[in-house]
Amino acid sequence: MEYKRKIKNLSTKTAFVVEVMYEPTTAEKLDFEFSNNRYLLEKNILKIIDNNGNILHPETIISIKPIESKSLKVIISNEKPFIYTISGTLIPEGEFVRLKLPSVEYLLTKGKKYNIELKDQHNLSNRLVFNM
Amino acid sequence: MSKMNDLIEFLRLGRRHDEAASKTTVVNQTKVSATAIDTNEERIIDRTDFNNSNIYKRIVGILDNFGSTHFYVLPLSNKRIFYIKLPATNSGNQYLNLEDNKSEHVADPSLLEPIEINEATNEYFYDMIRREVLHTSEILEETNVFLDIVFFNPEKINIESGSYEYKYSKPITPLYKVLNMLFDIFKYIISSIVSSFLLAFETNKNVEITVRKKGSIYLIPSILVVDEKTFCINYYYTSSGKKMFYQISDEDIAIKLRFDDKYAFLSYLNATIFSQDVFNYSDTGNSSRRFEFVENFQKYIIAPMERKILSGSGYSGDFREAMTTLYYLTDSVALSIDNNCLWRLFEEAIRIGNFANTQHQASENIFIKLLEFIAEKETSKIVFLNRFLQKTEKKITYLEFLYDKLDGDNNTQFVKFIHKIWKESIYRETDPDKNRFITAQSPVLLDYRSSKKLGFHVDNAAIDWNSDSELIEIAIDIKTGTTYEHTTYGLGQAPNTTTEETTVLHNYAYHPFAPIVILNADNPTFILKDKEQQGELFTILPAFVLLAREKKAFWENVVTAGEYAIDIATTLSGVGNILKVGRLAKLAEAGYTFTRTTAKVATGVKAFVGVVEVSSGAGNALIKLLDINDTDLGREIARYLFYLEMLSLSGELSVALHNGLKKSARLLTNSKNKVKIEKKLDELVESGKISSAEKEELIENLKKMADGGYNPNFSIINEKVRLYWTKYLTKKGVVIEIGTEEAKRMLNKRNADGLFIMRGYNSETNSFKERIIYLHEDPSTSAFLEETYHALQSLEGVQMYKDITYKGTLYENVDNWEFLAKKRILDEAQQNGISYEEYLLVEKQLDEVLKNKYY
Repeated sequence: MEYKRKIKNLSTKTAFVVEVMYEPTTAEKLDFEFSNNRYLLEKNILKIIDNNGNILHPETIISIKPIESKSLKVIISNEKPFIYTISGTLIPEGEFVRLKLPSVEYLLTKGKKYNIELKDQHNLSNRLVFNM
Repeated sequence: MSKMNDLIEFLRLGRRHDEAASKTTVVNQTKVSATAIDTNEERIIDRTDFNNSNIYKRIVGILDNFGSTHFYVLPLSNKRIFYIKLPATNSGNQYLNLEDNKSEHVADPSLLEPIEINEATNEYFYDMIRREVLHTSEILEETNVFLDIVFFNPEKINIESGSYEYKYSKPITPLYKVLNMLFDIFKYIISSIVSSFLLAFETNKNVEITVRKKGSIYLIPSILVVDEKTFCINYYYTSSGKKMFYQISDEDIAIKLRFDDKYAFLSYLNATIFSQDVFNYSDTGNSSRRFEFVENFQKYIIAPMERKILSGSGYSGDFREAMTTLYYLTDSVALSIDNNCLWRLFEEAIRIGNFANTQHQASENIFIKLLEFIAEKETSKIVFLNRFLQKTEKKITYLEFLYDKLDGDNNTQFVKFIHKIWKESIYRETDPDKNRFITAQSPVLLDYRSSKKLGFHVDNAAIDWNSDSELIEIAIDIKTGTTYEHTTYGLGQAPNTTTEETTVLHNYAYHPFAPIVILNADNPTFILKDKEQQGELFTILPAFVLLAREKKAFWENVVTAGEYAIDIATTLSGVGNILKVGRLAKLAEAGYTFTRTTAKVATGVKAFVGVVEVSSGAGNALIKLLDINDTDLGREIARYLFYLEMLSLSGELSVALHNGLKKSARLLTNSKNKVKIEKKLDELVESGKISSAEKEELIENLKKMADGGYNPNFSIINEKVRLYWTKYLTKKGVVIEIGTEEAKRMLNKRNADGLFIMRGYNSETNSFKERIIYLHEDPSTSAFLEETYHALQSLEGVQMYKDITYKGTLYENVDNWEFLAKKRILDEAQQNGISYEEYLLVEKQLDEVLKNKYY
């Protein structure tokens, strides 16, 4: 793959914020196109893994038909990576905390530890540890 | 300057005062230098003495009155006597002694030494001690007193008997002045080409002037109205003053002006007499000529007008003539008109109700002038203001009626004027114990906040006029002091959390003249600022002015935002009332059909796309529909009307506006609204508010305009297909929300056309508890089908992501649901009636799904 992903946890107690940084792997500069109108990144690539290594199934899945498609084309380099922020809210719900993202929602158990990564067939990001 | 203007300037009553004043300079020296005119000896005079006109007598009035060209000095052994020559009379060589102002007979004029008057007449004065005439280059500080007499020499001002054109200012607005000027140019060009036109256009000479020999004349003329087309002004020689009235003949008239137009006659009198500071219409002092002049003006002009109006003949020509006459009257003259007559004009203006400024008459401007006259005369401000609370035949208060009728600057002037009068009335009392209009429902202190951000006026209130209760309703958001955190999320950006203050909505209802106090610091850009209260901490205003601010801000925002304001504007309360009195309403009321052409500019060439036409009948019916008792539908009607209003205000229709209009029409003609609108139109026909022809015109108009679909180029889901899938999915437990408030909220939050949500995943059964479809009202075919297919995919357990080979190419990790749904839409496009443009869009989206770029 021509690029690699790095993720960083910037979350607070109520806000789920993960910064995703895309950098070229080999070339100095790389043409990079990004569009996420249907929030498929959150729905398809973001993986939340519990302590046992199981990938969590979303509690809610939302299919979005956007009014218009928007895409972005940039040249990325190690000095100028492309950054996308996955943003959501964390809402307490009894023994759980609901993670609400635009296209998916998860129920996470309070006091448990989760790992977060971005994963598709070819690319895997670093993994973040997330204590609820 | 034309000869007519030269004559006016010469005869202007205050001319010599103005000339003397313009030469006056402030001098600080303690001494005044002067020269004796007969010996050329210098005299140094103490300024204090010089300012004493009993010692140093001013003679400018005498010199001017008699048109003196020379002083005459009689040298005697013990003194020298200074004279000026008096006009020739039967009694022979008459001279005026400058020492005592008495006329004397000089038996042998050859003894007199003439000294020419070379300097300005106000630079000469008579020294009562030395008994000599002195000249000073320093200007006399003393206010000069001029008699209403001047020496007239027709040759000196180069005027002779003949017909002249007198161009005077007419009561038309600047815009129409330009139009009239263009028309004049057009006439000139035509007349240059076609000589026969010349005669036709040489009829502008509206005044006949007859002048006689030179001589001293009275500046106060006598006036005579012969008939409706003959208005005479005569200037008499002063010599006529000694004659009995039966001895006076045409020979005594130095200048005779005969106007064939009343308004030219009035303009002339304004220019020469009424506008002059030295003339007081209500106090003519000891001058019998002034008294007689005012008496005649009252007799020939004011009294007949009062009689016609107060007799209540109802003849509209009398009313129009009186209103036009008002325009030509100076304030002091107009104030002599009977107050009942002015009020009658006011009532009649409202009854006729036509205030529009036209090419021929600035009716609005004249009406404002009438209000000013009435206010000036009406000693009780409460009586004045209460008159505005009376109701018209249509059962609305004069205040609301006039507020709606008066446009632009005149509207602002009207509001400011009412505010000014209101401040002088007891309505402005802010003590709740003394003012019954201050109640719990109309508190005097209002936490109203307004400002201007990025060119837009914003405030924390929705203000509207309730025509039924005649109260001004104010819904205001007031901050509570408690805060909450608000987080916004953006693509590629960290979430932005801001702290916002919780607000509570209060609903109040004010009498239009109830007092409201707002803090100036909270309203830095208040549009209708009261200059008198600008330095204060707060402004006191009647509720009516707050309403006016809302309307003015609204239109300023529309001008700033253009077509983008429509969506915002139609969600505001009060927009209906604005539209009811807008340009479209006025055109419809006047029976006009308006058309606008749609044009788009492509590579510098205008391509015409279509024409929008709205008949007066359709316009009338639409405006009546604004009162429909259905919030959503009412808003859509307002939106449609708003588009039309924008079109009526702009010369040409943009493609974007055209599309917006089509979309709005499509919404109004969907199955649900169509039934509601037709029902309401039937009710309006039954109650006689609109004719059945108007109803048909509107239905036809909407149908024509709607041709093109919700998205101008998209189809709307076929009713049969919609019913089929709705029944099927509902039976399977899928909730379908189309056009509901929740649907709007969910869709707007994600900027989406459609959503399918699966909620409540159960890992044991591997299924979801709820399935919900959200769509906008009247969804396009593709949006409806896509969400339907997602629901089916969910029910059937179709795999969500997989590698797909399509048209020989392998695509990895594709959103399988999206792919299958879009593919099916394209495959079944023809049978579902999808438009060509919609097909292209879905095809593009399918490509995007395959080549996903979200990484």
